[in-house]
Amino acid sequence: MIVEMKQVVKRYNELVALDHFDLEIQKGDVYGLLGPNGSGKSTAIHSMLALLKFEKGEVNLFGEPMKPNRYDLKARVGFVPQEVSVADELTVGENVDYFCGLYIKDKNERKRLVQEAIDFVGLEKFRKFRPQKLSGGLKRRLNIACGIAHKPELIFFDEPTVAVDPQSRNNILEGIKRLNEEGATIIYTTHYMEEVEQLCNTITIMDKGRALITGSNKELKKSVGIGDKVRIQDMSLSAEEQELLRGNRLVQQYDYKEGTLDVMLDKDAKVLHFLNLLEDHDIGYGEMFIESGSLNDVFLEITGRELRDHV
Amino acid sequence: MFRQLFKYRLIGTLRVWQILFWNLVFPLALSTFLYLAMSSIMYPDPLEALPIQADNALVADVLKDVEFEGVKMYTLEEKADPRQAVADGTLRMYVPDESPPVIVAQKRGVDAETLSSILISVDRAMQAVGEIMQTDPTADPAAIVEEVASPTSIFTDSGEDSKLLMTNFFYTVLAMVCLGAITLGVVNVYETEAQSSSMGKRLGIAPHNKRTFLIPFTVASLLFNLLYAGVALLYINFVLGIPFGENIPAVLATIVVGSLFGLSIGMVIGLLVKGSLDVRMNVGIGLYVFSSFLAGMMSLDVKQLITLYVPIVHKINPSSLITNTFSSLYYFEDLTVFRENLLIMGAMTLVFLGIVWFLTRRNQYEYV
Repeated sequence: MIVEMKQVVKRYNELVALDHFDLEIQKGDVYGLLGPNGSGKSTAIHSMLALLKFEKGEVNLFGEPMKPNRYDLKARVGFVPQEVSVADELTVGENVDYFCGLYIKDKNERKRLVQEAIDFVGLEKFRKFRPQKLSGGLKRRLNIACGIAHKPELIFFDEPTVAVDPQSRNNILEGIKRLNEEGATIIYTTHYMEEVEQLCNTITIMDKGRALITGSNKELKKSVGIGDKVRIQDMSLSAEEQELLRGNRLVQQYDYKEGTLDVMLDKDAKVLHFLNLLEDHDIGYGEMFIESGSLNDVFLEITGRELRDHV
Repeated sequence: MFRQLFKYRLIGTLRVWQILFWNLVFPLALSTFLYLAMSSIMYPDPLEALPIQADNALVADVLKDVEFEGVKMYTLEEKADPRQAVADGTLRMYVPDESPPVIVAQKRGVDAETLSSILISVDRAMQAVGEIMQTDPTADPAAIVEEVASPTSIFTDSGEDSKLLMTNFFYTVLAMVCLGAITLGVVNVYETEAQSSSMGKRLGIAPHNKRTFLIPFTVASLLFNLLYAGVALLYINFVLGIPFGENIPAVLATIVVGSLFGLSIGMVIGLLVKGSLDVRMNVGIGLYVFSSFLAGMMSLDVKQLITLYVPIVHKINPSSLITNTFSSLYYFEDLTVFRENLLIMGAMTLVFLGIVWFLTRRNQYEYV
């Protein structure tokens, strides 16, 4: 196990930021911490990195207790903070070299690693640029390069795509996948559920300092009974047909208004089964939109609140 | 590691124009303005010798030798009608042979007042000559006048006094450059704090003790401040012509200790004052400006009042300590004041560095 948090409690006066928080991250995971702002994601990360003192519980990294002076463990960790954390007065190349130098003493090895990191994030053309000359997306890439240049085994990404354009976001997510393929274990915090679904093999949904639920994307949806959503527009249903659909075991939620049918299928049902149902009863249908159940639905199911409401 | 951090600290500091401006350009500009404002006091326009006439031969003999900074003050004329010559402006002043002395001039003014004071001195000297000659007929009257009146030295000493007082302002400016290191010390601490700065967050998770960063940062900042102070010293000394005495190693030692003193104050402020970088910087800048004010940068009266009524403040005020050390090297050949001030600064620096060491050791966690 790469990371283990056991019953960690952290309070800020009356506010409980982490409430007996447990976490286990295996080698090779891309582990997502998903939750609204203030749910305790950053507090959890700071606790794992021994930046933060907590009241109770324990944190182990690579099977060893993590403390501020465990420099041997810190040397194996990379961190990409939420805000772009680079030296404005240094160029792209100098920044990556500067932070890589905190871990790698050998000059030749460092030179190679710096080059690899710059190539990895696609900033070679901007090597001599200072950060203020870079766009928001390029700065984010520099931020990542500074955190990964020393080839850490475990990398923390704290909301790395905040305020980033879609193209840069895709680049960043692709890059994180590649890092994982190269062997790094990733811990990824965000409040964008789409990113977590796209990237992470294990997800913990957090709220009010607690881990609400942990599992893969499919497991989470399955555990709370989330099925696919189907919307059919311009549909004319008789009262009898409406009754048939509403009562069918394939349909978990049903809504028919002004010629538009919205249904959420049962977690085990397939869209094909639903189409067969319509055809078996000669119910005509026009344009159809299918949407898988989201992690927002999971959050809604567990807390009764929308994840998006808190973002 | 040290070299890596040191190198990038130097590069980083060099590229921040605000540091260059406030720690070097501003003090140089300030000293230039001070120089321009005070040059009329320190270096008045060269005097033109005034055409005068004195009927008394002995008085005329004295007056023709009166000098100010090597320039003769008077040329002795012999007009047939000296009163008319004064009236039509060909003669500035006329001294008839009378006792007590009388001056004929078109108007009262500095020139007349100056000549008046010289004549009073000469008159007293001549009375003394009379008395001495009665008891010692062999005495040389000219030598007695020279010894008693010494009119030449009166003005020279007075000019030097003004100049010496003015140099204090420039010593304070150099003290300000040394204490400019306070801002560098504040930044050094701030950038190693994960809870304060984004840079600090990266350093906080790096596999090193916080002091591993502070040491090269401090050395780099010290080097920079010494460079700034060195440039300021050369400018004030060689371009503006302000003297710093002959003991150059002692002047340099003052700059080194003063800069380290400033850095240590800045680091303590950075650690003890919580808040944004701006808040900490404002506290640091406020401290060194106020310290310079107490040391007499804006008014020498303040310095004298502090020295008179709150001598302990004068003894420990950073800017006063540095300013007085420079002054002592110029005013006194004896190094007692220099040694004493350097010792106080060194001791205070050690105390501040001790506080920094203690606080950085205690703060293991970045957030509590």
